[in-house]
Amino acid sequence: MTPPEDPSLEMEFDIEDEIDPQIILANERYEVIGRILCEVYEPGEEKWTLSDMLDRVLLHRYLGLPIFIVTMWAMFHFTFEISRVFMEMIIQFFSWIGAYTSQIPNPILASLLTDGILGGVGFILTFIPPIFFLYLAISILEDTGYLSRAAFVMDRFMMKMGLHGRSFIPLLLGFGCSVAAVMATRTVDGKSNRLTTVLVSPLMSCAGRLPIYILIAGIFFPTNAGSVIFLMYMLGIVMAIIVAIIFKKTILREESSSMLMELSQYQIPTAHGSFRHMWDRGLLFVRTAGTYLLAGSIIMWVLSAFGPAGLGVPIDESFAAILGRLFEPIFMPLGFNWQIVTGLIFGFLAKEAVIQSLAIVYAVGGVALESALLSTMTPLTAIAFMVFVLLYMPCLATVGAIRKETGSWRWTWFSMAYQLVLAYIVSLLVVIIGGVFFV
Amino acid sequence: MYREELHLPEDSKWPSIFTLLIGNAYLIVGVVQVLSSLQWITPIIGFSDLIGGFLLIIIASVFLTGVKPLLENNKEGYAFVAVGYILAALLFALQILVILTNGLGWFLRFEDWIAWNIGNDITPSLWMFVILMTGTGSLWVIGNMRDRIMGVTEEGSQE
Repeated sequence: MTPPEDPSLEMEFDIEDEIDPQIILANERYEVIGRILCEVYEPGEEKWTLSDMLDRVLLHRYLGLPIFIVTMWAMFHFTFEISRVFMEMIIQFFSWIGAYTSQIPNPILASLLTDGILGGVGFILTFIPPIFFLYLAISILEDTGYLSRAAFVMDRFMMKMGLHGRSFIPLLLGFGCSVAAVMATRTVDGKSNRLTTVLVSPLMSCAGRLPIYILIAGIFFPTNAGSVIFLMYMLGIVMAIIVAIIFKKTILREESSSMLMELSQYQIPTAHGSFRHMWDRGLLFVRTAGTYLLAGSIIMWVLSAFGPAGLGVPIDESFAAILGRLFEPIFMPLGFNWQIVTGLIFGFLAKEAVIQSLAIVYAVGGVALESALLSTMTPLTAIAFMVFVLLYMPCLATVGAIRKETGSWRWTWFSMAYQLVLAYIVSLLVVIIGGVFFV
Repeated sequence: MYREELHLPEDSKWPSIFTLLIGNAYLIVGVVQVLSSLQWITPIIGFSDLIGGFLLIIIASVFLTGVKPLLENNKEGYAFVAVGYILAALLFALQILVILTNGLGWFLRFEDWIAWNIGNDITPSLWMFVILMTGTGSLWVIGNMRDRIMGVTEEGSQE
């Protein structure tokens, strides 16, 4: 093909070069389909299917969003409330094993196994039921065809805010895993839209954060824990939208384009399909627990059991305490003690490590996690802690995914920095505003 | 499934009245739950969840939006009724699962479940759905009986 001589055409050529050829192909395909349909299709009442009927309401201008909220609430309520008893079963199982490992004559080995491995990985494994139930709920929603509708429901709002509707699909995937969400931004049109979506997708609450919410909400808000967890997920969506608007109005300006998306008919999900998806995704969590988190729990135990004076020092003189105290002054306004700060530092590797670190630090110190948290945190600090966990970098793997997708260290560092600052500011606002109204 | 296969009633008068009633019932119970959870009125057992109250109001609004098209004999109104039923069933099923798992914890004598009382889990989302289904069943039986009687009368008059 010879290049066009007209400069305006040349410009169009450049713009087209940046658009994904798959999208051009899809657009052409839809144009052909549209032409054929105009010739052969006559719309009639008889074609009004059950799927169309449901879409009339689920994609309704005003009811679509409230219905989406009901569905999301049901999903998180299911995840939290149903899994509680199964979590207790796993806790009882590990307590039973712990009763034996603590009797081992060698105190170092006994502490490593009981406080380090069982207190760390064993504790994290108690969160298998909610994570599996969350994936089951997401699989059911995907298989019914509702999840793609959710993107449509949100499209109207996102377009009004100058964002691309398609951006909501990666954001929804972020409920499962932030890495998957960042990778899924490839479907978003336009460089600026895509970069915005990459930057805000880590704000969606991934499954790794769920154990933290379950633990904290269960301790501080036992009667409304399910609703508190739901609100954390909603806060993630709201923050993602607010931050995206700020980016689009400042550093990443670009016109939004309309969304073209094929909606399949609604289907009744099969038990085999939904459980299979749940198993495949959930297994990833178990693998992480068996590898990275196991290694992390041993490292955390070493840092908690050892100090400059050697083995068996009081927890306040351990390396973990030294590390936590180094950054504690920064987090003092939020009400976080050194134990929480240490947990947050380890949370950079993976969010599950936050709770794991807290469990080990308190176990080595000889204090039960629940009573320790109740005595060192107020309900307001607990909310600030959950908000901080929600908004700061999800894990190292997500950093890697952002680097890969943006192809730039500059944007990767920016992503990490803005999330840290955002997490700090919003948590501080929770403490200040909450302090005015509730204390 | 096409519209013809859905077997929607030809006359939407009674479904619209029923939808109006059930929508208002969900609305009233939802508002009471919100007020009770905020302790603006005397707290009621099972009415402690604020968000649960808002969800009932959302279900009510879905039902009530369907009333107008049904009154105009527009079949699209049934779409709102169907989605209202689905949402109500979703919350009902969820509450049943909560009761079952809490019952399991109580049966196994786990510490957190020793003081568990089923009364706290009998929430409005549970019994409102029972009322909804009872009402629907009654309407269906009455409708069938009416059709049968009308059919017999018409046959009698033809003879």
